[in-house]
Amino acid sequence: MHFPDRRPDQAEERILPLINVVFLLLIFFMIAGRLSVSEPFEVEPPTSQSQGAHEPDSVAILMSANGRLALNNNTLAEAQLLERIESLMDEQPQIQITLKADGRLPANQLVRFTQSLYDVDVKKLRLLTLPEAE
Amino acid sequence: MQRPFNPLAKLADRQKRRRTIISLTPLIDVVFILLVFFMLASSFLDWRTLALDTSAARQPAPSQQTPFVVQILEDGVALNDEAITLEALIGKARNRQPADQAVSLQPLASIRVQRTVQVLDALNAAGIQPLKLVGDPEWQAEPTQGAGSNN
Repeated sequence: MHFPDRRPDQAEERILPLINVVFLLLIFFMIAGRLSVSEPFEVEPPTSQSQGAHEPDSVAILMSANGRLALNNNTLAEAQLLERIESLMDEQPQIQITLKADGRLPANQLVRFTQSLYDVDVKKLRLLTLPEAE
Repeated sequence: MQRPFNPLAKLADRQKRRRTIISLTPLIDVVFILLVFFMLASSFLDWRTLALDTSAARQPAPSQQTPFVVQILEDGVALNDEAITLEALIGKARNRQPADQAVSLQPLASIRVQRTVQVLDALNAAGIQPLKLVGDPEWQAEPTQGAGSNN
């Protein structure tokens, strides 16, 4: 009995498993990864044992090791940033603010900054951390 | 209605299909570029958060109580200006009176955020609540801070 030869070329046939694997990797990275947004300056958050969940959609304040500030990746002076937070708090009083502060920042500077955030009526403030390396 | 069996027509069909199929090499190029893009652009960091918004942070301590102030030092902690081990501190914090009094953490001027978070972690793990952070009155902003706050 004669079947028509439906098989592709030898070269194509050899390359098919490679394409399968590459597609699988592509789908893995598309689904499992979260696209990282570039930040205006480098921030290394402190490591911690805390288990608190991170809400990626909350308002993010960046604070670098030398005290530079950014709101949602826009570098701002402290007074302007507090002004914006205050008007945000008027619109959405229960919104969560995530503070991504560098682990090398003087702790007192962080304390003073959180106090000024409380002064503009921030109610939910969380500090972003990374789990400790094993 | 079925076409009559004709081997030549079938061969012509197959050759037509062969020509319309996308050639594999450009496809692989594009898929590789997409793969490299997603590998470089995605991050897999496991973010956690630590609550800083205890309600105690905004309530002024009642003046008649002696505040429970823990100073954070580079290599340990101090309770009311007296160096103490972390274990002893946790014991004392558990037995503090009244039990709902806030434990104030006061990092000294040289202390960094990382060290403060360590102590916060230890007290959180021991179940001590509420915790609040207070500043050290002796701390002054470093000169670089003024330059950094410019746009």
